[in-house]
Amino acid sequence: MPNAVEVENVSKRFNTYENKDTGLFSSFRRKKKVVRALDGVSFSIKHGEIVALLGRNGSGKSTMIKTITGILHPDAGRVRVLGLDPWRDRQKITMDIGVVFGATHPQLYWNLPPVDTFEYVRDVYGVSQKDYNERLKFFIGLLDISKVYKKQTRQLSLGERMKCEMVAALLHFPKFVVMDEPTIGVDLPARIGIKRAVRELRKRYGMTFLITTHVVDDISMADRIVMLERGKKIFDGKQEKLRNTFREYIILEVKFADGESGKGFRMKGRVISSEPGRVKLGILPSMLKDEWLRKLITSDKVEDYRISEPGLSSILARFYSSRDRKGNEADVDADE
Amino acid sequence: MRPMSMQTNKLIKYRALFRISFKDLLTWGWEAVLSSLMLMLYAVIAIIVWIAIYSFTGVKSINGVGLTSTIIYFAIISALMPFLSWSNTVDRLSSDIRDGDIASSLIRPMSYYFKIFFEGVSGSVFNLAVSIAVIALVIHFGGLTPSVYTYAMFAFYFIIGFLMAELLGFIIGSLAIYLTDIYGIMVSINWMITIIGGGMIPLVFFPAFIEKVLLLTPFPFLAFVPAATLSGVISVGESFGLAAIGLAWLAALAIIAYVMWIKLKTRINAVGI
Repeated sequence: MPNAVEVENVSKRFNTYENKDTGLFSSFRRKKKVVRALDGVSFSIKHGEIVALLGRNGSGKSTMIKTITGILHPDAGRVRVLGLDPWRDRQKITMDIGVVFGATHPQLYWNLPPVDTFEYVRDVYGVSQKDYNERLKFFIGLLDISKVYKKQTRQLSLGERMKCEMVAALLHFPKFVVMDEPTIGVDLPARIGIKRAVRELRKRYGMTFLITTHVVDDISMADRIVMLERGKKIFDGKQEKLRNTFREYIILEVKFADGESGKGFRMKGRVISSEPGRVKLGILPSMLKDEWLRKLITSDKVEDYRISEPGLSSILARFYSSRDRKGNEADVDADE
Repeated sequence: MRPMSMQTNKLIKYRALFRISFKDLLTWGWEAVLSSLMLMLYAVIAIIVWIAIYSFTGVKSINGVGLTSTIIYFAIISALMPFLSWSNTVDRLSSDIRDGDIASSLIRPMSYYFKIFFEGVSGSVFNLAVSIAVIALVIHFGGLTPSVYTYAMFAFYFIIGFLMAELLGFIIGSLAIYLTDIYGIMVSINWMITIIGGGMIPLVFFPAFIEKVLLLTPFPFLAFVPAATLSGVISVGESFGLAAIGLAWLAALAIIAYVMWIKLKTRINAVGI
């Protein structure tokens, strides 16, 4: 059985304009720039898989999903979604895909309650009244929206709106679902609800999900992570592999015995924090077998110690800042 | 040929779109009615201006059109204004492009081109009720006795005018992909309709050769032609003679709108949304 999504060597450039200088008439002195939004990206998604597309702002995530959903056409490469070309067969493929655009491009009618949009979706996708009733009941329970779906959309909180956006995108039970940053600005209970719904929909109906996010916490719901940086794929694998790939250090916390300050011990690595009787170090994973560490943790002057992994957010933050320090290579392709 | 069920599904889709757009409009209730009435105010001003002109100059008629006929003409214009307004389509389309909300429409299994059209229809149906009520009052109190042919020609130009307004709105709105601010263009087109379309001066008041030239443009079909037909400012025969020009412009605008749609898609693809 072929994959649900196949992206092969996809590139996409955009024309942008930049003022050459400042001043009152600078808008008339602009130069055209070609920004490489996607640069030879390849990956695939199996049927029933949940994949998180991770990357910071401007990494190419949104361009990737707009290409996958047929809104944009790649300059080079090939995209197949459920066996179809999403650009050429846009109207046909929309019957089998669902897209949640987050808060940026809402699908709910602002002045009407979400239930009106749900009924509109029912008719647009040709869902029978019986199926509609069953599915709506299922989503109301799953996303806990019984008290909100008949209220005017503009009166709902962002979290409530996002849950209803999700229903509007999924009522036709698509085979493949794309969610573009669905949890941005959403409170914790709503975020948990959305994540639970994604897992449940996959389990019950075998839906395939591609979820773009730069909220690291979201990737816990994913089977696999694809990471983009400046239009290029820099990672494709499981969460543990992501941690190992980008982890630069591990954390060593040492608590010294009463009256001991830690002076006299040879310690390497970077001091993250220090207070009387305690020290927190960032050490390289390769240092775990070092003699200085063995001596430190086996000393009777040390009451307790703990070695832990830094959070994924910290790992990625360090990775991004190191990329930035190295310079902005190849963001801008060429002046024309 | 497509199977009947597919055609039925399409009808259901666009009916659903019409329904929700109309319902959305109704949430504004009295604000929407007020907006329609404000558009009519413009023609009321024209009536006041022409009463002043007839009174000041002391003429009984201009090119055979008396004050009463002029007042009736502008009363009909006031009824047409809300229905033949094209600025809502421009607003919808341009904001969709500027804010990137067009993406939300492109992921639905329907043509964006027709989506905009049906949203326009739902908005106009609301105004249609107001227009019909005003026209009925004008016919009753204006003492008009239109023939069946006059009604038929008026209905024909009413529909032609509506379709032209929607297409014009689509074309101007599409320009938002190239221009940050299309307000200036909207104002210019409105002036065209006002001055050379018969919104402020009935075209029969111009010298004959200028009137003939102006009738070759699309703008009179958004004001002068339907209003002059019903008010009797032009005869049914003259009105019938303009049908070919109206249909030709309708076809031309449909082609231009379609080309703009293709350009729009290409441009969205080139610059992103």
